[in-house]
Amino acid sequence: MSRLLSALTSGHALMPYLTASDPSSDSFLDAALGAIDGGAAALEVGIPFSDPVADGPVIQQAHQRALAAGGGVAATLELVRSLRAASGVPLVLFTYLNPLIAYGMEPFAADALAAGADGVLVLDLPPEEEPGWFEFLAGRGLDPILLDSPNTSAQRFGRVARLARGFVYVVSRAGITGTHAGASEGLELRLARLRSLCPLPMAVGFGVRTHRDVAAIWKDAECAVVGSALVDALAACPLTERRETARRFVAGLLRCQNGSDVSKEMTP
Amino acid sequence: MPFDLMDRPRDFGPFGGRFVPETLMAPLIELEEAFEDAWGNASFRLSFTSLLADYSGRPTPLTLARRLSDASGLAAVYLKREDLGHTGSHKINNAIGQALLAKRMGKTRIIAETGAGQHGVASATVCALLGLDCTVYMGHVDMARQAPNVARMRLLGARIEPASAGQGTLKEAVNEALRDWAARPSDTYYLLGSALGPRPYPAMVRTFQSVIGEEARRQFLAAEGRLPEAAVACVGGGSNAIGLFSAFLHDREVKLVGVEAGGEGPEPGRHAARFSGGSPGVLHGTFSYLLQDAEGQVLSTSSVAAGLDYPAVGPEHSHLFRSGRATYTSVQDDSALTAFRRLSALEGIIPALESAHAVAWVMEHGAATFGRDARVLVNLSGRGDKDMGNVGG
Repeated sequence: MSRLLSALTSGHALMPYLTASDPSSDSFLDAALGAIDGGAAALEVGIPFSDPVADGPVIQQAHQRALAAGGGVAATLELVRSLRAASGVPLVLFTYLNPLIAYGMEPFAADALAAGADGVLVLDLPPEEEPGWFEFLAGRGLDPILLDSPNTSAQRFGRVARLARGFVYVVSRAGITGTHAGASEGLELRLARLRSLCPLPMAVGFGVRTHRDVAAIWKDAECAVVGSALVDALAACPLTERRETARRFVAGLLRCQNGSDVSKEMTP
Repeated sequence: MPFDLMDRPRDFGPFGGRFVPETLMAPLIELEEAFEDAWGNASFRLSFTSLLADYSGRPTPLTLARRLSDASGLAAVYLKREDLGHTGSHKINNAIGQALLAKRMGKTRIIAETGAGQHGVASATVCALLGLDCTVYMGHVDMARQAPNVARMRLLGARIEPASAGQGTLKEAVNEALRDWAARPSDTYYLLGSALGPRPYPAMVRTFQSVIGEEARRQFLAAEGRLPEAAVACVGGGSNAIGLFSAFLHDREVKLVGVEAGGEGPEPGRHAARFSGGSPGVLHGTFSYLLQDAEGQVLSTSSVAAGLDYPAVGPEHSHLFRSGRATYTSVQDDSALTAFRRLSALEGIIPALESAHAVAWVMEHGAATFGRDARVLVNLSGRGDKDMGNVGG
């Protein structure tokens, strides 16, 4: 069983997203380690790209800061190596396709695995277009992560389910990252349908801000993904406080794990 | 190398494809099916050709530019007068086709991107005609340098959304349009303005623009009794060029020349010449030639012509380039500005700065490339009123 699969299968998991090198290598590492301290079950590490079309303004700005700090594929893999040395938490590379093409798809797989990554999600590489690379990744022990969005047909999800490993990333609403707050209606039915087609854990993302959002997701899915809200909180705090800010933020979202204070809104 | 995207056949040789976030897959599949259904439908085709004729004024003329021919040292230079279509550029052809398709699909809200503003104006125009809500994304730098078109779009009832990230030009406008579409795919139709982006856009836009080449080929034969030595067009995304080239692809004796924006010079970031300075990559859903750095980050671009100021090129042009069927070259800003003035003074035709790139290349290189007896066809894709604020008298 892959490290990702075992980390998420038991449920009540939280997977924070951070853009690598935002706003510098050291500051990224501080925030990532803080998120791990706070109880993250896994981390999504974004590879900076000049044109992140699936992302809203908060994460677009993170990509710009990261690029200004020299971010890219090589720098991200170096950061993954550092995180892996410090922690056993599963790491998922979250990326757009073009930087991988420039790096080389096969060298990227080899180097990501060597650095200690556990999975790869390529936002703009749908199963119809991928050149047999997902199976290659899976064969090497790097989980290809695929997505389901609210308008993905059952037929297309069948293809997703055949290729996916680790978990399925369930986009809770149409749109870009960071724009909608709250859980979406119909998620329960949708997840039930997906489960009938795919045995993997489900991670629900887009619009997660509060522990109320996380608790709502945990009713139907193993894992909640938080991105923009965390990146936003970190962008607003002094660099010296990033580790503690990330720790408190993640721990705050997880507080509802025992169901004790689900109704209380967290204010990071 | 294993998993090289060049090894797999797509829409145009290895180029094209549909490299988009999952949320856009369903709307693109829906669009592809709707277009195929519409294009096979006689009444849709009739609506399209009727609007092209009765609303936009097609066919546009083919003008023998006698003084330009002399100044270029060529036997004849013919201009395909897309500047005379309604709204002043070829963009209206595609806007009419896609807006009719949107209406047929039951979409009520149109979004579009624009660089020079010509596609935005064409979209706003057709939306007014068909009673569709229209939002146009435009880079903030382009809004400033193409202000007359911003005013026109507003008059036509469109909402203009500034794209202020990055360098604030066409690339950022496309980014914002894609984000908008991902958020509201059910009621929104993305009216993409060039022969680029994910399938089915490149082939669909070519289909709607192929009227340019069909008319020009027929008109040229009627005027000269033979085909031209060469057909020349400027290439931003490449819709006016592919519209012209499409009619001549099987006429092997007709050389096809695409002219890109050479900007301020050949250094990275100072031009938009994708074939001399770029390499295959994925941007905005398609695999094609792209200006990028060694890490695969998209480079900034520069051109005096906002409509050519874009780091990627339509995927069919990449295929024509690799196969050798078309050649691609570039001219710099200063040459385009000179041609803008020369064509105005010689022929009484003020070209768009984009189209002036094609004219400039013919004036500077036509005779040396094709010989003094050559008869050359140039697509004058738009008129230059919009550029007066930048170019002056």
